[in-house]
Amino acid sequence: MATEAAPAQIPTFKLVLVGDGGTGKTTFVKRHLTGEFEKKYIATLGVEVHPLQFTTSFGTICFNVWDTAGQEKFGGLRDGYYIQGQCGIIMFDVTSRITYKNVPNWYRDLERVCEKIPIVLCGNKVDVKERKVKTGAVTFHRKKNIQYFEISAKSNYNFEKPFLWLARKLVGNPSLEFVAAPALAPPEVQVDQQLMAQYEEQLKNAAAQPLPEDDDDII
Amino acid sequence: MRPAQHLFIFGNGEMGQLGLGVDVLEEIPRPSLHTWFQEAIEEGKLGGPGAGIERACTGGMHTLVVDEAGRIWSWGVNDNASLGRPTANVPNPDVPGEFYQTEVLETQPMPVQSLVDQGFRAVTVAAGDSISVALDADGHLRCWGSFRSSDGLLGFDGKLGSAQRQFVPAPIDDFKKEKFVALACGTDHVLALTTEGRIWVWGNGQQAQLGRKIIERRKTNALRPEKLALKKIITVGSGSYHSFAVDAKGRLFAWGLNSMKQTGVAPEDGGAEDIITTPTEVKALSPENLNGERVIQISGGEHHTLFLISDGRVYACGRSDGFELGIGPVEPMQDADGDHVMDSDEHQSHMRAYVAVPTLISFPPVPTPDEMNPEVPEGPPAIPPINPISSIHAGTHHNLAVSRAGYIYSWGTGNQSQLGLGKEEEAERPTRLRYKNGDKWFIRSAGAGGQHCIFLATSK
Repeated sequence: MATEAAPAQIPTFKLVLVGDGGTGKTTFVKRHLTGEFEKKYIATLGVEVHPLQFTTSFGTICFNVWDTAGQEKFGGLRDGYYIQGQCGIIMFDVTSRITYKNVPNWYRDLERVCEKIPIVLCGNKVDVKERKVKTGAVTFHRKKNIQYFEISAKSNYNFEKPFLWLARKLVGNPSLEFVAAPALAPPEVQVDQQLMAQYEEQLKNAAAQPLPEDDDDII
Repeated sequence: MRPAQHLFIFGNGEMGQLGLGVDVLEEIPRPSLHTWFQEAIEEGKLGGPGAGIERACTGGMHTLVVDEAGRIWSWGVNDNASLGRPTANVPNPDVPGEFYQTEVLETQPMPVQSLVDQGFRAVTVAAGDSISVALDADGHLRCWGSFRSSDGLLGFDGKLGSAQRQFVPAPIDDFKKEKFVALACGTDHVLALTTEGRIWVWGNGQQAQLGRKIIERRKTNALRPEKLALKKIITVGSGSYHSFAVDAKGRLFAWGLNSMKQTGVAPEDGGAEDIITTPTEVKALSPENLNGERVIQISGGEHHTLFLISDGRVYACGRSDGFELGIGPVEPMQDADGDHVMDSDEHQSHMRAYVAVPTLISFPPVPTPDEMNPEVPEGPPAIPPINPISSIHAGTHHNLAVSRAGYIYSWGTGNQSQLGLGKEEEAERPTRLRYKNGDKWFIRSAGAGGQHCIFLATSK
């Protein structure tokens, strides 16, 4: 039947998920319940691949999300992890900003192996109250033309946003929408919706600011 | 030191790394005199009239400065307690009921007051990602901050009931009878050298950077300092996840992560492995192989290492795809003899370029009034070197070297202005930094952080 597409016909994209250890990558990817149920472990690379399906206004698409399963402890990931990546998510922890230190390095490693793929930067753990706002106003993503979302994996806050943005880029249609919500694990924490609205407003205002001009005079 | 040493800074300030207040959070693309310290020096705040900065070091996203009175000033990211002073819920003494904004306290240089109050006169500081260490004039050690592992926050001393983050400097119980002379920090580990020539090591040990076996499910055991078996050590050094020591005979030892052959250990000594589990001699840089000269400083990045030799030469090995070694483009995958090899199983091999054998770096000649930016000469580097180097400082993938003639060079990869070369994000070879009024300063030492860099200079 036309409505029951065989799995092989579902457009599938390899999504490379990177970021320092402890930023919540595995927690994030495990929120998607069918993906977690159908995950596969690739022993030679020490990675788990989660097939995350989303129902869009153009049909079902699938992200094969590659999660490092702690491999970053060996200091950098093997190229096999990146090869043939079609899109990427870089994650850092807004409550431990030292995890932002390597964001440009993760970006560079992704760019080097997978040229010109759509990339999303995710600041995770925005549910934690003691986050710094002003000095957390990152501009790296603007300089490199990648998208930034603040998320909270434990509360499912903005879980779909990175995938929706990537799906639109990959399909090449900015009007693509997700028409059915995927089954997600129940939230472990609740976010303060008012505070989230405030963060979103701040992000919007920051994005409207011009990037600082390069003042490159030597003498 | 007179004239006083001033601080210069450049790189990314998004997280307040520049210490110029909450309004300067952008990138500074070339070295810039740190105006806050300039004023502090003019006002005699750093130890009386004319007093300047004695020492400074950079952590991942923070900076420590020691003034002439032996006080430590800190600024940068304090989420994991690297600054040695609280920045949250600090009351404003002038306005009852009001608290300082954390961002204000993080982004401006402030003294580590508890050490000042104890009369701790700092002479040496070292810093990792979120860990900071200091020695006083009597060899006492104080430590603060926290360590991370691949699973996130690992803790500070791992003791039952201790806080995971140590917000104010603390002595370490095991060191009651020890006196220290030197420190080195990796990303998440510390090496401390005693006056007896022994090394204490602690922090995260997942990549064998502590030179001892750490069981994964007992990772916090690594937070307890232990002494290495190495003896008569005179120098310690570190990369992000790898460690070094030089003994009195000039022999260099290495251990820790070796995934890009960043330790320099030869294949026949175990250097083909991705991890060097115990201190192993780096024979390529023994005095016999250096015309009797010896390694006097070691500084490593995430996957590469720089070695400074007593005659001012600099060697490098490890990852090279971002020009980390400053030797220009390198063909992918070289074996110990410099031959190109390709591993048959692409998923198991690093397809990125690295150089396994410590290789001599060419620096441009010393600038002259006629030729301020001479090119790096063709051909093999001269021995002794034409432009001897006095100190080396490796960041994650970027590097700084200060020459005996008082100039500073950078190379490698840094897309956050940490090369100090304006818009350049890569430099294949050591390139002299140029900046406003640069010819008026003699550079003495430097520091390369995660996304920001510093140097100290005296006016000529």
